[in-house]
Amino acid sequence: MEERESVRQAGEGNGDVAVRLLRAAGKRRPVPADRSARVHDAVREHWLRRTEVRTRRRRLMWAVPLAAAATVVVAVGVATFLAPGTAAIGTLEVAHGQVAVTVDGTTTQGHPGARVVAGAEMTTLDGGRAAIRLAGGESLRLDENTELTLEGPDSLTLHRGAVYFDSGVGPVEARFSVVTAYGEISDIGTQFEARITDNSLRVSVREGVVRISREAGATEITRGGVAVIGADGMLVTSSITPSDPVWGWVLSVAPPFRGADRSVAELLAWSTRETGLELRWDPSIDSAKAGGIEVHGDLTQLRPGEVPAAVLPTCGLAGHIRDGVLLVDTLK
Amino acid sequence: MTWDRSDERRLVGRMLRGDEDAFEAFFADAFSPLYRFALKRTGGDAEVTEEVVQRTLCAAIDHLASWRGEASLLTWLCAICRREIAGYFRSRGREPARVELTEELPEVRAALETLLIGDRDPERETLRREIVDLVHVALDSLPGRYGLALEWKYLEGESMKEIAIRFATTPKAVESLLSRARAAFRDALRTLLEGEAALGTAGGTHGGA
Repeated sequence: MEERESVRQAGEGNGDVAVRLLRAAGKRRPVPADRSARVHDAVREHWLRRTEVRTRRRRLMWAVPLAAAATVVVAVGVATFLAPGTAAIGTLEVAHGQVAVTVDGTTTQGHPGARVVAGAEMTTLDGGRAAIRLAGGESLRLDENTELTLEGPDSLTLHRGAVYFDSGVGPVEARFSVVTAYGEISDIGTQFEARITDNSLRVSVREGVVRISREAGATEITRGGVAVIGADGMLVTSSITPSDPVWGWVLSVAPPFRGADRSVAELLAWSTRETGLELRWDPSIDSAKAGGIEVHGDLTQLRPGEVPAAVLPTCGLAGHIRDGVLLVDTLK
Repeated sequence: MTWDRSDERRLVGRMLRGDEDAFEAFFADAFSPLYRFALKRTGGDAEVTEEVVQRTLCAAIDHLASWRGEASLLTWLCAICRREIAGYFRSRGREPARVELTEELPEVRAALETLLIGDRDPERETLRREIVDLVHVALDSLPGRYGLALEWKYLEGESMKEIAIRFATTPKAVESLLSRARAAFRDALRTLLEGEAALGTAGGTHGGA
């Protein structure tokens, strides 16, 4: 029992024994630097890939003044390491009509391909709409008569109008949060619109779940739900379908399909995500086989709503839209 | 300069948000102890150890959001590592190396004393090495920079001032850190000797892979 007593004595205040043990044992065996470096590089690569997919965490911070809901602060969280003020936080993918971009007092017409920097002010007039691809791959869209300031990689101030945010396709752990003056709105893998109308804030959820946390408590708005928060702080809920015509403006500034020679499944996934339709395959079809058919050619001019009529017949398929559902059947 | 479970939670949170500094801190803290943990359980096979440690860390990153902080990060990593090692050997129809630290053999007590007094009796060499491993396991189990601070101070003979420079803090803070580190080290040793779970080793009197 002597050695236990030694350790116990150490525990009772005699630190010398523990230090003596330490000295007697010597240093821990170091890990060879080359092995450490190899594992580090491989694990870091893995982490970067997972972080890109997982960390689509946004915070939209809405500050709606009780007196007048004229300005809403929207914070979009993006995992980047860019310095504010001059760093690019995304790319303007679509610009319809008049889309003005003001940086350091200089205003220019926004055009597709332009880098969007932190601090830029964006304004769309009547008929003007825009879509921005953020650094993390998310899609931020501006409706007409919208004015906002892109504060930095993780925030924007919405002064008027509406923005639509699509966190993209990703695993369940992808996050999107909206922080408002009334509390925090958070969701997982969501498509939603936030709109300022007549001293109120309206949040419409197309996909995923949005949680609105306020002093009065937390409210969850799921797919198809709408929450309107008035200047008096009252929250009223209603419903909306993912393919409701209200989403039409979002579809009008949907970025073009990327790439060529893609599968039918990829095109249908893109089309239904943008149109809000639910995809179903007729039971008579081998969906895996049919979905794997490759569509060749330049697809960048293809609009999401055109896929059923323009693409499916070339693959011996047909699309029927009814009650928010796109049913894919054999072309007869 | 404290390091506790809340620090680990913050680190994990930063990693989940894509903070590269957090990833580097995580790797710097976790890799070496994990490697040593695995090396013992792969029978000293460095190639296999490298592979399972890489798999362990990747698996941990995949499930990082599920770590709730009930156990330390290293304990959690070691649990994953055990499964990876078991899976590796199972896929090859082999058994992993057994790692045993037992407190009940009288020889262990003797070995501990011989370690302290420097007795190099060849008959006790194996057990002496086991005790050395136990000391190193205890060091690896310490949170944050405790293990490093103890090695720098008591094995490399660095002064408080020199350690303070390395940690970018004050000598006073280092003194406080070392006091806490010694206490944590003693507790870890006691725990190991008493056979309680530390670093995810099996309960009871021995640690099995």
